[in-house]
Amino acid sequence: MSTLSFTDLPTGAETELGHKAKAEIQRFLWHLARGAGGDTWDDTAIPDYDIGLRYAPSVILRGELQVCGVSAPRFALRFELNDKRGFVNLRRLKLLEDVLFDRYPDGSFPFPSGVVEPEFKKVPINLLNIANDDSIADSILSAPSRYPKRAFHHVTAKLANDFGEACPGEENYEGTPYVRTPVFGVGLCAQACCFVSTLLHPTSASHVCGLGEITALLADPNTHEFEIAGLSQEQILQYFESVNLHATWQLVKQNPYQPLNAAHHFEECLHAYVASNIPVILCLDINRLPRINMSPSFLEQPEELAHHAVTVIGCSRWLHLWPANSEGGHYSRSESVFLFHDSSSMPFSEATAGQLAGAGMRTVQEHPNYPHLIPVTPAEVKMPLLNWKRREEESDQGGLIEASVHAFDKHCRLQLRNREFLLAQLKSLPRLRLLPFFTGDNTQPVSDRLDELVEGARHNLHWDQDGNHWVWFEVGMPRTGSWLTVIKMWDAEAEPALLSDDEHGPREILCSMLAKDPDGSWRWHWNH
Amino acid sequence: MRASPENVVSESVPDAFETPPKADCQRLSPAIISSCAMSGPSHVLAVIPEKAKFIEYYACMHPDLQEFFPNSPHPRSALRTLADQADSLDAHIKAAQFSADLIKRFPNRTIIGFATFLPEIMLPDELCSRSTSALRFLVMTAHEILSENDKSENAPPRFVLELVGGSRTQGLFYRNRKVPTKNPKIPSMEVPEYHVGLLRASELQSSIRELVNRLKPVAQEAIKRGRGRILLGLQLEPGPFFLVNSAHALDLLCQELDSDSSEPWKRIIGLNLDVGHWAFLTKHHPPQNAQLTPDWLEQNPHVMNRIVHAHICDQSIGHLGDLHICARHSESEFTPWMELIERRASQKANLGQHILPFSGFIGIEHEACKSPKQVAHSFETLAKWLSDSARQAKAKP
Repeated sequence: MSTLSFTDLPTGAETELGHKAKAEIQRFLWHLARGAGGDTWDDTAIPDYDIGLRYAPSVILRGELQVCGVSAPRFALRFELNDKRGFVNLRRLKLLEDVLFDRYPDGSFPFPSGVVEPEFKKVPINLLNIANDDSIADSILSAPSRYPKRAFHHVTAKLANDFGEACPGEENYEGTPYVRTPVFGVGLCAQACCFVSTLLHPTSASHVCGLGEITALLADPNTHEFEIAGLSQEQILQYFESVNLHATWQLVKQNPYQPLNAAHHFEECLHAYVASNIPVILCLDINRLPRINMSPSFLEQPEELAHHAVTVIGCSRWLHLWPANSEGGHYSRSESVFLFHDSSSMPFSEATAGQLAGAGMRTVQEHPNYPHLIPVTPAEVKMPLLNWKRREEESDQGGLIEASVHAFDKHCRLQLRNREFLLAQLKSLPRLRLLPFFTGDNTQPVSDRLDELVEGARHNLHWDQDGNHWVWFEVGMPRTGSWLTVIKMWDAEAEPALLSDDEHGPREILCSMLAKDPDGSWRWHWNH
Repeated sequence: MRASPENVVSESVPDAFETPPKADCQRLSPAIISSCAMSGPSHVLAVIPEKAKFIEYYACMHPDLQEFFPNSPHPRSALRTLADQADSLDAHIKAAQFSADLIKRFPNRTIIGFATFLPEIMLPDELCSRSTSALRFLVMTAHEILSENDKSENAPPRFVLELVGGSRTQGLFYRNRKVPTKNPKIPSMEVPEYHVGLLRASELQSSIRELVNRLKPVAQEAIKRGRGRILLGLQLEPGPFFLVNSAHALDLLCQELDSDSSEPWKRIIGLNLDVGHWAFLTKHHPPQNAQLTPDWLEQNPHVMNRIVHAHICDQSIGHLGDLHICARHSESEFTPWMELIERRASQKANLGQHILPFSGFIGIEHEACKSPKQVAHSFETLAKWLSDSARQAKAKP
């Protein structure tokens, strides 16, 4: 049996943690540190850990306390991961439970005036079983070493400074935020996804708050209560609008005659956003995902639909396009791997594109249904990739992938299987050299040409001279015609509603094309 | 220990705020809030810089409760422990003892105020009325500390009790909802559906009126004990769970405080300008609400004139933790707020016009900070800003 010991522990702090905190931390650390593979828990494989704890602020605990009507303990116990790989805030659950029993001697939370009995009842503190709940609160984590940067892109932001972890003169290291949602908590999986996605935009989001505050922000100002419940997809969009970010509800359009296209579009879209450092919330049925990191509550009812939301925060770096022979030109393909944060179990959970694609909400009798995607971008980025809509009752509108099909002439249509989208700001051009299309001799010419393309866009279209304009790059091989490789540049800040105005394709959206002839010369074209 | 019987306290309401002759009200000094360390006064002394002579004591962290009130039956509740002291028959003796203990634990430092976090004052149950008792006890202690401070050469003119403007949440309740299952033997199961009671945002004005009424016993105690030298500084806390969380709420609060001049206790209720909260954490309010900016404050003198104290630290885009000054925002983003505090501190108090005096201090806030380096950096930065500003003011003809 492995052990977990604490060093530099403030007096009495160990007794403040929840009953299962130690086991939870051990499993958590093991999950972060373990090698590749290992689909099931193996308690005997968990090594001994020795961690130092200190008190630290927590935006999550602040919100939870307000709902409980107490003012302490609003500080978490925090431990740091080695080599600046992040930190973890722990709820002091036993202390919270003690404080609540002390605060409410009759053993129940106060009952607000105006609430109707007997439909509504007082909440006994015992009912919530607080001391046995999940301890891990707001945390910043680096990806486990089994997902190295050379093979995976991780959606990260420099956040150490924002959480007071970087002292004056010290480096502001990067990581990915994570939070677990306890049963007694005031926010569920969707709020956790909102929290994580907002923090991943520290320079674009107007503000970030705890899970309960997210729920409260969406409550009707004229109501005297709000329900602790998950969020609808419309509410998620509404929340991101309120924090100056943009989220679109995107759906895979299924064509019964071309079922493979839908699978490609799902993977292509998810990869495009995540590889562009954009988090994507997936609304899915967690029971349909691989069971590796499932929490016991889900496992108890495997036949039930389990509405859940996770945040995709990593992907294998390429869409796995490899030359099938030495001449090139023909590519084979394997599935991408994605990493996601699951607030009910573990960060950096892993699934293939196919596994995620099969996890849409549906009953056993229904046809496969892809999970809905909610990419969260800076407010300026309006152009979605897939079909999109704002409300349940609305019919969906076409996104950029559809527009691209209609744009230019047939010679410029890119092969579905050999195409990638990448979102970027002009001032931080994508590292296209990492794409398999541009290796070796092609890298420098492409970089030079991209610079020309950007300069042209600034000059001809009066785009932001500071390079703050967002664009979509579409890179790939044409289906027919004489070009080997094509790069298209689309205005990502254009309103997608324009797409439906023109049956022949978007008129108002810039599309610049850089193409390489078989003779090796590069040419570029404008259409706007 | 020096007892402080009622007969040494004037019960008359002051016509004007007293200004001790030794004090220089124009000059601002940096203070450090003791919540930077959480393991008792000795830990605080290890974290704050040697040069920092003024402390704003956070009442109280858990280890402090055990140190100062070892016999409390509620060692994990500052609210109940402090309220118990206030409601005991020998409350003034206990306040004197607490004051003496604090002064002893912070040698060569001057305690200039109390910081608190007791948003329970707006909760509905009976126990919440005890938060006013807890605050009253702190006022009694403040009076004792002021008396001790006055014995020294550079006695601060005021003592500030900073308090949170109340919580909007009103409790937790539930009902059972029937959920169908696929098991034919169990057609449905009951799942609890939890709800949180909340003061209506649309009834902010009446909620703020209620907050002011609940502060009445605390303010009356402060006037009775301090004769205008003990000020209450209400703190804006950002986010939807707090009542005073925006420019609009501050506007309504100050209108309420100005509304009835026949209630003199309202004269010592002011605001704590927390630069981190006001400047960086209130930007998210909907566009129809005014943004809390120095310009807005200049245009709303009824709010500006109620600022009695200030806190400072940097903040991220949320209340993720107090950051050292200029950790995220540039000096130029702090400058308008520093200038505003200096203008406010140099105003002459005038009760008739609802212009309250200023404490003379800016408290540096680094709750549960990682390293003493962060506190030292903020202290040095603030001290430099204040000294540069004082030099410039002197140079002016």
